[in-house]
Amino acid sequence: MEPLSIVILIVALLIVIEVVVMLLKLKVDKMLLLMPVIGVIFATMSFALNEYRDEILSSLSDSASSIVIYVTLAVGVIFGLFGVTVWFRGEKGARKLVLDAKKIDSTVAGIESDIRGSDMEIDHFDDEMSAIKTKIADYESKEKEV
Amino acid sequence: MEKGEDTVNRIVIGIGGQGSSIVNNILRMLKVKTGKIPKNEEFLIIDTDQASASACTEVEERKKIILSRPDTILMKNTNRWLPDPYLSAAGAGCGQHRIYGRAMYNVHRERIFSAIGSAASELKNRTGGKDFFIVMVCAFGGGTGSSMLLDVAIDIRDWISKQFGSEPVMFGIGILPSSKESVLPTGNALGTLKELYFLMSHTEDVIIDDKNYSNPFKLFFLLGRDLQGQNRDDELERAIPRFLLDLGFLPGGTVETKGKWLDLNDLQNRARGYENRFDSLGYYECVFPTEKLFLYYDIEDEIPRVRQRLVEIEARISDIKGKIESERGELERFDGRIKDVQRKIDSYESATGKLYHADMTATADAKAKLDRARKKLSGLKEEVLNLEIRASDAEEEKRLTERDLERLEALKNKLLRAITSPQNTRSYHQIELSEEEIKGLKKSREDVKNLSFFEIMKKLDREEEFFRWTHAPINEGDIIFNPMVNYRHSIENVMASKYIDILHDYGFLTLDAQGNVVNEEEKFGHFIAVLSTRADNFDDARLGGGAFKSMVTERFTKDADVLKLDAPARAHSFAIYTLMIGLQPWAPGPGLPPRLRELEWLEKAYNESDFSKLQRHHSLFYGTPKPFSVISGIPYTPGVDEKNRDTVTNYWKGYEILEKEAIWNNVPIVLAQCLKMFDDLLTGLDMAEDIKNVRIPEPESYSIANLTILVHGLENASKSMEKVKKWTKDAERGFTLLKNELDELVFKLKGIEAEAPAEDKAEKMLRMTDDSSRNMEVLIDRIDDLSNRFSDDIKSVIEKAMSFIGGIPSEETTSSAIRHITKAESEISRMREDSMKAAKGIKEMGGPLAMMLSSLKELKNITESGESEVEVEAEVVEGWEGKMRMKREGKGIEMPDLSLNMGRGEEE
Repeated sequence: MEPLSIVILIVALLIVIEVVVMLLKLKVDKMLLLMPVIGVIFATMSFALNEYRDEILSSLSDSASSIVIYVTLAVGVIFGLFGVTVWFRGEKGARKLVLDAKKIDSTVAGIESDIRGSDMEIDHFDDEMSAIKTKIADYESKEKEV
Repeated sequence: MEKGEDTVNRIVIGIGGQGSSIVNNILRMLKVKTGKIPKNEEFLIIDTDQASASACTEVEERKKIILSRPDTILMKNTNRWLPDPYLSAAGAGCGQHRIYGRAMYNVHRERIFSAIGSAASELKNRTGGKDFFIVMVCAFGGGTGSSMLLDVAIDIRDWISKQFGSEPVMFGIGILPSSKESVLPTGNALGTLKELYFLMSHTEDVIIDDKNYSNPFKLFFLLGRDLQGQNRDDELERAIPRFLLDLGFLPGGTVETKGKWLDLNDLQNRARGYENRFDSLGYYECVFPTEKLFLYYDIEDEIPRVRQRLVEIEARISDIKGKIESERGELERFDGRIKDVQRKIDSYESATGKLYHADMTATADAKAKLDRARKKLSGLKEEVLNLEIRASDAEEEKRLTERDLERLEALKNKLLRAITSPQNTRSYHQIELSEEEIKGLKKSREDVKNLSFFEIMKKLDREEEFFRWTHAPINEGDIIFNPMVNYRHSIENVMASKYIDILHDYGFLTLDAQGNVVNEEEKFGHFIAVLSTRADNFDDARLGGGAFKSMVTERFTKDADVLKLDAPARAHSFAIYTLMIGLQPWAPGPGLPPRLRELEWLEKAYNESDFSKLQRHHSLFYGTPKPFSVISGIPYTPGVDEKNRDTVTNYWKGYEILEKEAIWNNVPIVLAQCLKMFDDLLTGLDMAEDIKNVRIPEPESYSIANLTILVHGLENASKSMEKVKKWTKDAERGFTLLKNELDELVFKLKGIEAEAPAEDKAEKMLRMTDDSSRNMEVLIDRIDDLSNRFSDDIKSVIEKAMSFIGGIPSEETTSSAIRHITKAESEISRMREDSMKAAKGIKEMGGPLAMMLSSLKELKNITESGESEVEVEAEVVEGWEGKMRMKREGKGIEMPDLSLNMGRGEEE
């Protein structure tokens, strides 16, 4: 097998892996899954053309047949990449939204803890002032006793 | 008494509003001191006023015997003797009507006894002991306590004796009203005193209808509410619980004391023989103000700390408020941001197409976070609002605390004043400290706690003062004078100046170098002083038992006991408790104030009540005519309730708080008054005699100088005549008063069937009586003589003067001479007129004198035999008066008669 076929096979294999991953791990729309599948088909076509170029593309010159093979492979790769790119864009948007929500949530939580802290502080002041008052009342009652 | 050994059951009963309040105070003090009530003590209150009983918060509800007012039908059915106006009462409780209180007692008697009985049984079950000690406290001015005291005391004594086989030891404490109180309470108090004294004077059993009417009390303490115009309620409320607890009558309070010092048996032994007299108590205390000082130091240190802390708190609150403001803005902004993100999520989700990827898990997560933030946000807005309110409240609280701090500052200043210039009285002396001394002692405050009173004073270079103030109450007699009743120790000054020399001459009084009366203290009965302080202070003060006792007995008392009470907690206090046992409250002589000053206003108010109002002041024996009749010897009519009630009222009206032996003390005082009056009369007679010695020139010796001498002489004689006229009037009035006093004394001596006085006293009294009679005879002779010739003497003077004027030659009647003659004639005319009145006055002295002589003889007979042999003298007096009448008829008014002489002659 000539080296180009091996390269095409690797590309195709990568796109297959992409399909499998998208199918199994990334819950993507089936239309979006079609893109890498098409990419696999083109890669397969490119492999086939390369392997049987003497039979299928015999009418074409060597350079023209290479162009066909490469273009087919490129179309396959483009379809494969397009799927990945669309998925990545969607994921990026979602992550941003989550981040925004999380930021709001954590800032609000920060304010909440601040407020709770102040509340506790005021509680403490109240207790402290009440203790002062009790102490003063104690002094007053002691003064009556002495 | 050692702790744990005491099995005597003790019951404290407060009757009426003030009695209940004192019991409440005792309980409070017990709880503060020991935290619990000893198992052998029970505290009960009996009251007819719900509100007053409810205020006694320390007393258990089941130990409050609250008597509700019954309807008038029940009241009348139970008390047939009760007058209609008293079937109900106005105001609270018994409306200060003792008669109503008695009726209430009759209605609720069973309830009262069931409550007291169950308390006594509970006590007996708890302790196993059958000995009971009962203290009863009440005010004498109110309606409830004063009316029920005696009945409760008699009944409870009988009940406990029968139930448990041993008679309880009973102490009473009665509070007298102040001089500022109205007629009702003061009259009530005398009514109560009369009835109480009546019971107390029956020292032997008097059992009538299975009820013993003898004295139920071993000791009865009288306490006054004011002393020399000062209200002593505060002192009373402190002193009674303190007396009972500190001195161990209620041993719950003796935790501070060491060893045995005085127990009930001791006290009973000391009071033996004085059960029928009243008692009182008091205390003197000299203190170093350690507690005040330490409190002052604590406050002084505390104030800057608190002030600093409040400043910090203020700054923090201010920070919090700023933060709240910024957080509120932030929360508002977050509201917008949440909306933005929500919008983004919505658009992210809605943008889904065929070639679009949206991560729904992530958006769900984002939405959840957002929701949570939104919820938190709305909660936080509320919290911020609350926080703001709380911050404002905290600010307000801080302002209030600052005000409290100002109060603390004021308290510090007050304490400083109390330490630097204490309000000392006769019964309380606090050592005064300067500000430098206060500062100086602060440096060694921990040492001061452990030093003795004397050592602190030494540290301040003031040890001499320690001796002064611990010895002052003894040297100045304050330990005698500070009891809680207004008791007069010796004869009043006004009395002293008049009669004291005479009493001294006859050996009835002993005077010290300053002329003060001594040995009067025997009338105290028994005097007990208890020194209460930490042991080392006794030695430091050099007031050991012997030294103290000799100081007291040498200067003030014949009979005194001095006891030491080692109270370890009293390191810086030197207290002297006093118990005066066997007081005589009555007047030492006719016309003299009673020894118990309170009796003055009590008697006044009581005597102002007419008969119909008098019954409201009494309680004892209403509705029980039979025992009354048996004890008093006054017959009663069965079934005639109103008549019997009036008989009882009448009896109380005439009943006097007087002791048989004490009446003899009056005799020398009345005789001293007689002797003094005779001296005064002799002086007056000399003055009358002197009138005839006016210088009248001879008629033939006329000159203008002699005329002037005549006018001056007549003027002087006229003035003397005026004085004699006034003197005769005063003397007559004085004789009448003295005669009344003598008669009253003789009447009392006969009435109480007094036994003859002690031999030495009788001898002195007889000597005084004989001297008085002899003086009177001299006086009668002088009056006889003078009244015989007074008119003649005056007539002779007038005739001589007229003769001189008549002999003035007509050529000598110059204008100046005429003026003198006119003046002389005017004086003669005045003398003639006054001489008639003076002669009449001198003559009329004879009547009272004769009567007094008769009374003196009667007194002499009683003194000699202790019995009355009165009838003899009546004839003599009758004889004299008859003769006087004959003479008066035979002679004109101008001529004094001689009947006194004849009468005396017959007597002789």
